[in-house]
Amino acid sequence: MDTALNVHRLHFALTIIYHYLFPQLTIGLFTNPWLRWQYLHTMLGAVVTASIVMTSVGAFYLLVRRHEVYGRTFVSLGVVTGLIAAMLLAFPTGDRQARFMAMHQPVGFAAMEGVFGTVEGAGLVLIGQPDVERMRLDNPLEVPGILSFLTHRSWSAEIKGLAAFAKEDWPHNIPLLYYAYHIMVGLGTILMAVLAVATVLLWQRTLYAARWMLWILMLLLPFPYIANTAGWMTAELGRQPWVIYGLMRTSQGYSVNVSAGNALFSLLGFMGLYAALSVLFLFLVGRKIAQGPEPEGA
Amino acid sequence: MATVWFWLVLIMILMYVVLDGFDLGAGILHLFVARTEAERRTIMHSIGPVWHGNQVWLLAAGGTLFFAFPVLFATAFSGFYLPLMMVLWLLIGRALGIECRDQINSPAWTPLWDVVFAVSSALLALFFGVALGNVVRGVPFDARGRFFAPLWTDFSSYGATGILDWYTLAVGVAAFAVLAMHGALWITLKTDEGLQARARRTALRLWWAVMGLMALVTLATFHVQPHVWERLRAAPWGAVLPLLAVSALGLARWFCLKRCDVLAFLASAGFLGAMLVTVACSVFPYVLPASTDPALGLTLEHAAAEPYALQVGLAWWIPGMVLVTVYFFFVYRRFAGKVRLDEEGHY
Repeated sequence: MDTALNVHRLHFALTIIYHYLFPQLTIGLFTNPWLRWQYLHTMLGAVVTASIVMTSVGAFYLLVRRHEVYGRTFVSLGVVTGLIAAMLLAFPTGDRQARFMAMHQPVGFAAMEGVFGTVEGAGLVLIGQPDVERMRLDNPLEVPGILSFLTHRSWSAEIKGLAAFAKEDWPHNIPLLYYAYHIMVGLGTILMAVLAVATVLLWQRTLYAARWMLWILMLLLPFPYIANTAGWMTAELGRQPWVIYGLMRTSQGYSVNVSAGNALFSLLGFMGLYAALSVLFLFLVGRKIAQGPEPEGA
Repeated sequence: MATVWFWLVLIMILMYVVLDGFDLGAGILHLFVARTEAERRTIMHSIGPVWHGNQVWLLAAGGTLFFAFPVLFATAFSGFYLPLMMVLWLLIGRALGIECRDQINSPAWTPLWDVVFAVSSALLALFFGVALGNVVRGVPFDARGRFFAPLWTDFSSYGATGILDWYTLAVGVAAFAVLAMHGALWITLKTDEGLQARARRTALRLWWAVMGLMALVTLATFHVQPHVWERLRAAPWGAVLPLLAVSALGLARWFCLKRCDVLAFLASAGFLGAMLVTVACSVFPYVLPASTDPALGLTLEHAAAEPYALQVGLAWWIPGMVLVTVYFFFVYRRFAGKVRLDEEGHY
């Protein structure tokens, strides 16, 4: 059992190493300054997800008073690792990503931040609903000057709005892009805050008894997944209408001889398959969590 | 350089067929050859540590195709869109079958995944044969060099063809039989006692099916794609390669009867290799011929990437292959010999 598992691990590691080396070295991605930040950002996203899943399972064990030794390890390790990774996720990796976006893909940047008209000293939009037809943000809640400062390190710097660009270069789905980005950033901030409070409690040695906090930690489970997905959507929607930014439009890059009906067929097939797989995944993981981490017979 | 890459991609596809071929075959047969849960587990464990690595050859061949022959990749992958998606689903089904079956030990769980595994394996063997049939027969290219193959049209092998017609189906059934035999030889090699005897009997029975189907498919190929016959007649290897294939097939039976199981398996692998090389040589210089007007077929020269890209690729292909070879050597040596289950049924 052990050997086969180890061989699988080795196999997986080799595959991953080669996949990460090969494209980067051959198509010049290592000389692309954006790559290392994007890479670190996504990898940190994975670390936060793993930490929170571990924390959540640990909190569950502490709440139901089973496997408590494991539960404490899970929670303490998960909370601290998660907090460090979440902070690195925001700064410097997330910060650098956003600034690269503002520099190289300013249209997408304006859309995801919800900036319609060009402004000096732009505020950071926390909440608001983009209305693309009237070119405005409804019910905005902004922190003044922050967006300009974060982007250009100056409180009064100019941020170009969507109106400053040709409409054909706008991302296809501005509201979805805006929401995806804000969900990612919002959830990231909330996760960081919760983990910070939990770390303080851990420091004061009261975390394992603070049942209200354990409840919160347990319920965090789905949110890193949502944040990751929203982040991916931000990257892909923000790149539109290009498949290769500035060189090849999506409308030039798709398979013209695969009809929409045929693509829908495979899309529905995959959705069905993944729906079934999700149920299977939840069932098996739920079963594993119920069985607990202790080896059989212990 | 393009020709070099043609052979490299062919080698990768060949590795895939030989290696994943036996675990596909074992997947097809495990429902019938094994009589008890322990025997079935033995078969699953004979492919357990290697099937994943074997499957990566398909992925690697696809990736290499994308890099070395982008035109072929783009044309074929959008033209064969529907069957390729189904192949993906079947690959997922196989992975699910083998990974899920041991998660829960219950008569309401394990058989389900065994069937999922067997059905996906069987359909994949059939599909790969059909795919080979499509490549030999050619696809309905239009004047711009594009095509979109429907799953079937009128089952005729000429003109506006679909994925399935009587010829590609025949190749599919032949591939099914060949891989099932290959898998039976693998099970014979990795097991002992009753299970081994049953696997050996199955292999010997399937051998006749393989003989008959191969003869049929060969004749049909000359009929459907005259280009193949002309190429084979024109070159000296045209006689050598098919002879090699036939003698390897004969040797597989001979060794199987003599209980030289390693040699029987290797002979079967040699048969697969000789067949594939024959097919590749007889389709050459096309990489994807046309079933409509032969002149519309996609040639190697037209499909290949820029010479510079091909050179850079070679510099990366070689260290990659060295790693892969070391890994495969290690794994197959680590898990050499008969599969033995301990009391709990683990490896």
